[in-house]
Amino acid sequence: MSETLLELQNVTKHFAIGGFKRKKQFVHAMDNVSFSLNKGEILSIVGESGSGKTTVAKVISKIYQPESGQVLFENQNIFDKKDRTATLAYRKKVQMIFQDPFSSLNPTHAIRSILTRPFMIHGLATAKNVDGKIKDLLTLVGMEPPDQFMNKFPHELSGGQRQRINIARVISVNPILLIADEPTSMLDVSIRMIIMNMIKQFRDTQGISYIYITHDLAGARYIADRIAVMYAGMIMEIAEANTLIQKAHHPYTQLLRSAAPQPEKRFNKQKLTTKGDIPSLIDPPSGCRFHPRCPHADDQCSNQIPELKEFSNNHFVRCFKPQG
Amino acid sequence: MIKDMFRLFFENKKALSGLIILICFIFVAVAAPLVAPYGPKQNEMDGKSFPLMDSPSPRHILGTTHAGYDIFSRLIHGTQLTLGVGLTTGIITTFVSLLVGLFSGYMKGPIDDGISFITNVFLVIPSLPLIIVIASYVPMRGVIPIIFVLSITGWAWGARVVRAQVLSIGEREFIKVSEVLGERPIVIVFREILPNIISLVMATFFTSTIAAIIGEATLEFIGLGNVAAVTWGTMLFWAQNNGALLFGAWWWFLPPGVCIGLLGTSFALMNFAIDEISNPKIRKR
Amino acid sequence: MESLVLKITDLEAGYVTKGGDFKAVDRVSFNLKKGEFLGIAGESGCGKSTLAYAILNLLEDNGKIFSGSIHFKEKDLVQLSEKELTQIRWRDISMVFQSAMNALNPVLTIEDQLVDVILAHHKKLAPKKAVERAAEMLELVDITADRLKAYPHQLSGGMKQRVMIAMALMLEPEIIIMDEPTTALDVVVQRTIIEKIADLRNIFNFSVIFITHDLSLLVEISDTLAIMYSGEIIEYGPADQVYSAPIHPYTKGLMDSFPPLTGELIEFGGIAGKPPDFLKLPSGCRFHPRCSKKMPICVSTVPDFEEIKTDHSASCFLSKPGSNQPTTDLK
Repeated sequence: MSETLLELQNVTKHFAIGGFKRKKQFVHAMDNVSFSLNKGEILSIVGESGSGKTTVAKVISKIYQPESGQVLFENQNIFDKKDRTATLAYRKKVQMIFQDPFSSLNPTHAIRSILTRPFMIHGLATAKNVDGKIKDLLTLVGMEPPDQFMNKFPHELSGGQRQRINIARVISVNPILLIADEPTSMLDVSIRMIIMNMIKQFRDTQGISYIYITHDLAGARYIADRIAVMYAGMIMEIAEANTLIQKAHHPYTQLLRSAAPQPEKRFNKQKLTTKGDIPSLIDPPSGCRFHPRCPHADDQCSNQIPELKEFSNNHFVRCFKPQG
Repeated sequence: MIKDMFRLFFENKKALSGLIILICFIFVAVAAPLVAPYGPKQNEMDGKSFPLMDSPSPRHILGTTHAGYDIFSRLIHGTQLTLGVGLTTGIITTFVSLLVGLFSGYMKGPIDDGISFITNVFLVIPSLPLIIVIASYVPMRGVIPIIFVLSITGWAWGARVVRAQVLSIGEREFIKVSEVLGERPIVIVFREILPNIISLVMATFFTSTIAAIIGEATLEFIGLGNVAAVTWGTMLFWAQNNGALLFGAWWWFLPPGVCIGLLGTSFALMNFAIDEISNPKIRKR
Repeated sequence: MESLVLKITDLEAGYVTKGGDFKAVDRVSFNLKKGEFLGIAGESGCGKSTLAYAILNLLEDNGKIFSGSIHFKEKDLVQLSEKELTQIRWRDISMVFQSAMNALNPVLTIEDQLVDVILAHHKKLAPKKAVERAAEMLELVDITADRLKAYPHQLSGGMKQRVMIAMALMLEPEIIIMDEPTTALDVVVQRTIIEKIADLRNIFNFSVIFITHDLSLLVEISDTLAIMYSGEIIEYGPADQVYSAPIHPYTKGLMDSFPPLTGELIEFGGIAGKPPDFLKLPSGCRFHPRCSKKMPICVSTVPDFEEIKTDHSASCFLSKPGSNQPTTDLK
């Protein structure tokens, strides 16, 4: 029996652009996004650029505030209380790993200085014992011997090492939810699996729940329990990882699947049947946002936005004509 | 990191030359009584008066003023006030620019809008006329009013540059990371952002100081300083007043002018060096 | 017997720095047949981009070719003068660059840029004809002619990349070098570009040297694969063989870094450590500090790059007859 840790209910986030004179335009980054995450679960949000997946991450980590909808963490709306104590308490439980390992680190600070801050902000160490804790942390993320790294600067480390420091930093406050925003896409290929395995290991040993954001469907299947597919600011399909890949119902998920590299198939694949590009979020298509590219679209699809409905056991699809 | 920057600075030829020139001037300023042959207002020795408006001679290598003061000695003594005023104003201006820019750039929103508006007002008004107008209304004449006037008018440019840089750094991921970790805004400004703009602060300091030295000389040249004080600017004032240009008495007006130029150059050289260090692409391999 | 269009022998290229000559490409040799699709895979810093630029002698600043030869149709490109090279560049060998987004001039229309390419090599061609040709090429990459007057910023990332491909194809070269052309693109766009390249190859039959770190993609589309590590090609062979029976542990490690989309999920490992510093190379085999199958000889001696199976070569002591380790079979 697992309990719900995080729940998003119809969260909408738009960004205003444009000047005073022209009519204000909005980037519809997130529209009616709803999903939940159970304790100890890894949910992967998969999408291409412009899908809104990074905005989801930034809303959950309270960098952005949504226009409407609720974000419930441990059954409480995270945007209710704004005082320092409540904010700090949330930040101790919910942390985020960013995509670019280099720009996530202040180039003017040594590793020791960088890793001291989280302990100090949340009162988890004193000036006397913080060094010891930092060394334990470095060992935990595989940077050994720890003494060697204490006085190094970010530019002296490799990409993989930098990302380990970023992970160490967020783990140090003992969070229960980690949002990972494409943590491996800027790393060398050989390091990616090591980082992904480390993430999995922290879930297994410390019970941390994850929202793992990526554009790589195969990577999502490897690491996640469930996968949610986003397109143009909306969630199109959510299901258990293997089920989503083997029995995708939404035409977009099927497109993603056929576009993904599959070395085992050696280019005997059928060609993609769908043309077209990802729509602009400023002026998204009416009705279902995928309809201009969908081979099965009809009038209803261009006029109405379908609801995210349960198709079969725990498998949700936002489509009037789910396939398969 | 800061250590690396200092090392790069001292290895840079431009920086080193500029620094050497500056150190020479500082030395002269500090040791003026020892280095100068005579006092700045000494017009006689051993009972004998010095010649008036004399051209260079073995006993007065840069000649004398209309009152018989040795120009070379005045030049040396004048270094104290000129350098002192310039550096003080430079420091004050940089400090104000830094605080205003940091605050405005990080807070953004309406606070930033308000501060930017004020900054822009100061930027738009031509500085020289403004300096002259304010200086002429200030009742006192002297070094302190000059520092005051120059600081009031000189902070805006630096503030704008700092603000722009802070805005740009504020968008970088490590700042967002600090926010998500729970760091307070004021800590973020001083701990995370400030170390990243050190080279900018240095450059602002050098530029402000050059502007201050020139501004000071200008005000004194047109008589808005304390004409009885001994600075390079007042030397120019007296030279001009006594027709040195007309009579071709280059030994009176050229030396202070050249010194102002040299001092400005030393700061400019150090400024170029900072540019090169901060932007690796300009750096010569 | 297919003819060879490119024969590279013992190429050494890199950069001259204060710390010494840095050989990003260290004794690389391979051949390219007409119409062949060669994929070069490697991670950052392995020298693959330097190799791409060296073929057309486009290394800049302190980059240079130290030694070796690049034979294209009887001529050694390394020995040619800049003037002679200009003849060959684009007409016989062209290139699609990594950040195509930035390789297009933002203040010129697409038409201007395409026409520039044509007129640079066909100086006497009438401008109107040049525009027609540009429109033809655009159509080949599925861009309608009305986009000719557009500026680069008005096109999507995928479209810009297709314009770059059209530009590279403009003079119908024999070889197109593609340096990470799809890396910055979304997976669906990437797939359309790959399919488009395949279509165009069927029409024009040009050879491709495709450089990327995305091995899973390369395996799908290449005829031949070359794996680069620390400036050297450490394995080379037909793509399906290299995929199903890799010889070198690094290749195996790379293959292990791409979890499959379908099929059984087992724990995948990746490769710990990082590539060696070019100025402080390890003794013997450059990969030994990270190799799980390291033997004493790997530390002391540099392995030769030898043919182990037909057309499939690698530089590794494990594959030698007499060593107890058989080549690993994944399937």
